[in-house]
Amino acid sequence: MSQAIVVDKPVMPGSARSLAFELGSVCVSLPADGADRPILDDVSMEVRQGEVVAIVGPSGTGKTTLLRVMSGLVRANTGTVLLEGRPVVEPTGDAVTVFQDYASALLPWRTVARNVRLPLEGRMPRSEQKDRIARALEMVGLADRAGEYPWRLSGGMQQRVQIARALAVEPRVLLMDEPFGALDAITKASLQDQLLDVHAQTGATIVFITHDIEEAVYLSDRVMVIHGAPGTIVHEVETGLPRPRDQIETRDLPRYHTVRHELGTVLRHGHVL
Amino acid sequence: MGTFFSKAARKVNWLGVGVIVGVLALWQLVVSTRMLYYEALPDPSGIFSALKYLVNSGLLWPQLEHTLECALKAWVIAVAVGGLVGLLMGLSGTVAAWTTATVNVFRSLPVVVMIPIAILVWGPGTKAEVLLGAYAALWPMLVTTAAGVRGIPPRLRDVSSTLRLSRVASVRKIVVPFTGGAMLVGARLALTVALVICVVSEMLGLQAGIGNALVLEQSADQPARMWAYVLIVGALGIALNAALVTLVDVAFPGVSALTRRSVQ
Amino acid sequence: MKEGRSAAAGALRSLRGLVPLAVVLLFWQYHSRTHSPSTPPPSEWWTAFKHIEGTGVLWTGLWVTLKLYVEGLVAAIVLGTALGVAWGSSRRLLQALSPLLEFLRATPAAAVVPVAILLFHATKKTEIGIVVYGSIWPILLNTAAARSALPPLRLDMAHSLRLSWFSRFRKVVLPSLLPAIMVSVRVAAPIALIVTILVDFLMATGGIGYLLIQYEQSFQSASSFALLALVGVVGILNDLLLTRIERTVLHRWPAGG
Repeated sequence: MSQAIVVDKPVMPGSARSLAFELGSVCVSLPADGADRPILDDVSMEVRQGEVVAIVGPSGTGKTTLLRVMSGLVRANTGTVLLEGRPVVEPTGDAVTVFQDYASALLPWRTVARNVRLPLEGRMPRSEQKDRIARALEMVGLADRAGEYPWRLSGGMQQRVQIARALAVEPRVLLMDEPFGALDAITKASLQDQLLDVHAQTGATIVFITHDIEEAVYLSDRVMVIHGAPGTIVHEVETGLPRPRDQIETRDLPRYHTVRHELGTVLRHGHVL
Repeated sequence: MGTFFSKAARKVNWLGVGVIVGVLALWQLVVSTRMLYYEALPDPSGIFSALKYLVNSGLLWPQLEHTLECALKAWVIAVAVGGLVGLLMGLSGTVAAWTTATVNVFRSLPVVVMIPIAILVWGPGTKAEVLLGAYAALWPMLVTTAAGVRGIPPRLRDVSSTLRLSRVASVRKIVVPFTGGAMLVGARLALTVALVICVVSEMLGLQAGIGNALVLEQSADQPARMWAYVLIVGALGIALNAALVTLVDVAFPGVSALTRRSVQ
Repeated sequence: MKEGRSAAAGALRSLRGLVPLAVVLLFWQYHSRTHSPSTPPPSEWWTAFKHIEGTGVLWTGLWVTLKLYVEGLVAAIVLGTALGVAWGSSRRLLQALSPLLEFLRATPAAAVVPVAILLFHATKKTEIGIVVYGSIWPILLNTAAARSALPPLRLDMAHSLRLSWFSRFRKVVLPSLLPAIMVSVRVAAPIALIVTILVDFLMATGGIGYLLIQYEQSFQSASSFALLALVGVVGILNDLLLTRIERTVLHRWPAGG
């Protein structure tokens, strides 16, 4: 079930792959206590197809809002948001979000399989739904739990159900808002590797938000740092680490430490020294 | 759920007040311009003058006094008996085992059915009214209190045994303060119920009080005064409740804070 | 979950809670000093009951009352849920309408009956309307509160999966609210029964309450107590039925929903 990497636009000279996302000078203000508060200021970024991009930054810098703009849940006040060259005005099936709060994001009265089925209902014949559900659950390793209710599963498993639900849509882009933030370290590590597996199998573009610098460097091709209130992108670095990644080997590489150090410094001071 | 609405309405809710004013204004307009004419639907100013009449003519006060007196007597009995039995049922598993089913039978019996029975047995007088109010208000007090006692966290019971408090001291120092919140909720419910049942029983054949006056105005075909009485009943309920809450706040400052966390 | 045998034992054990009631009834039956014309012993209730049943008014009356109860309660549930969801979905609306609704809620249904009769005349619809008015508040307020407490994330999730407005309501909002609605129905149903009997009293419906008033006014005490006992049994059955329904509806929700 590999994703074909579809190239809609002519490939511009100089870029190896076409763009999944292109944000240009995005500004977002949201109503808070009556008035409008600026959340994001002049955010410009590019995400190439098939890339794994991490966005890190302190709380309150608008990371979640940025993701919501990319997913179409929030409209930017000014600036452009393009998903594969087309403006994003509302949620599409090409970019699906996975939320941190899996308990709220899953429906407790539906079994695992029916939860995964939610975005497919009414859009395709039953047989195809069944196939997609089976494949998605297989990919996250929960095929044997299809008939259980979410509240009987551990936190890590529930998050995997949410990921399976996103994968069932077969999106080009996976948007993840601190997907592993509510999990313990061991479960986190396991899910990180599962995510890398999913990426290897599907070739989907992944954009995720995290507080955890280590996680950001370990998983991604590129890390962006967002800082300030209102938030803006203050730094960007290519991790340049080989794939496939390994929890022990990769974290021992000198390049890993360099990138991590760089990011730590930027986060501490708000800019590169 | 009470917290939820007190938060919404606490900071002077201009929007809410505006809505009430708006509705009244619309009502006045609709009736004055004869857009909607019902003989039985007076306009707000008509109701207001009826209210003024009732107050000034001195008719209202003895009625009000009667209803309030009955409701409060009933309430005191209900709180005392219900609170006591509730405490017993909550504290002692044995007591609870031998009484719960009976309590449930009485709770599931629709209260108003007792009204004709009480009038039959005790005649259409104050005694029946007070007993009815007390009977009805007893159950919410009992149930809420018992639940409150049972809801005491096990940790607190450990504390009392660690400190080797005697049974009495344990009840006095831990159970009662902790249950205080639940008992307050129960008392408020009991007050509402006592008032309603007293008014309803007055409407059904007791010859005095606000309820009786309401029904009389209906037969006398005085819609404006009837509406006035309806408003009085509503306002009475709110006022009594507010009075109770304020009183308790003044006497026992910590307790209502606990209440806001408990179930209604 | 108890196994069959200990469930039966548990049920039997809870029956011993009826002992106080049994004691009172037995005392009443055999203590002749407590008997005045207006407090006949339980045996006479049974005789009176048989007699009323023979005249045919009993079951008709019960049917009238129960029909009004069910119609009123169902209408209250449908209206209360729909309005509650709508009201609870907007912070502004909640703020705007709370004081008005709190006042309406404080006005007991009984007090509203004379007004309703004058305005709308004594029809079946008015009867149902009064039952709805009396019992809708727990449902309306509870549903609005639950809707307001619905995690916005859940709605965002549904939106991000491109569910239509109607699908969101049907598949996400309503099931999320079901535990709260069920609990509020549990509270509203006994109120609906009470208001129904009140309507019987005040509006000559021909139901059980109406019969009771007739017997009371003609000093037929045994018959009155017989009807009291009947209503008591109805109340208990109603309670048991509601508990069973609640359990069935909510078995798919984890404790707390």
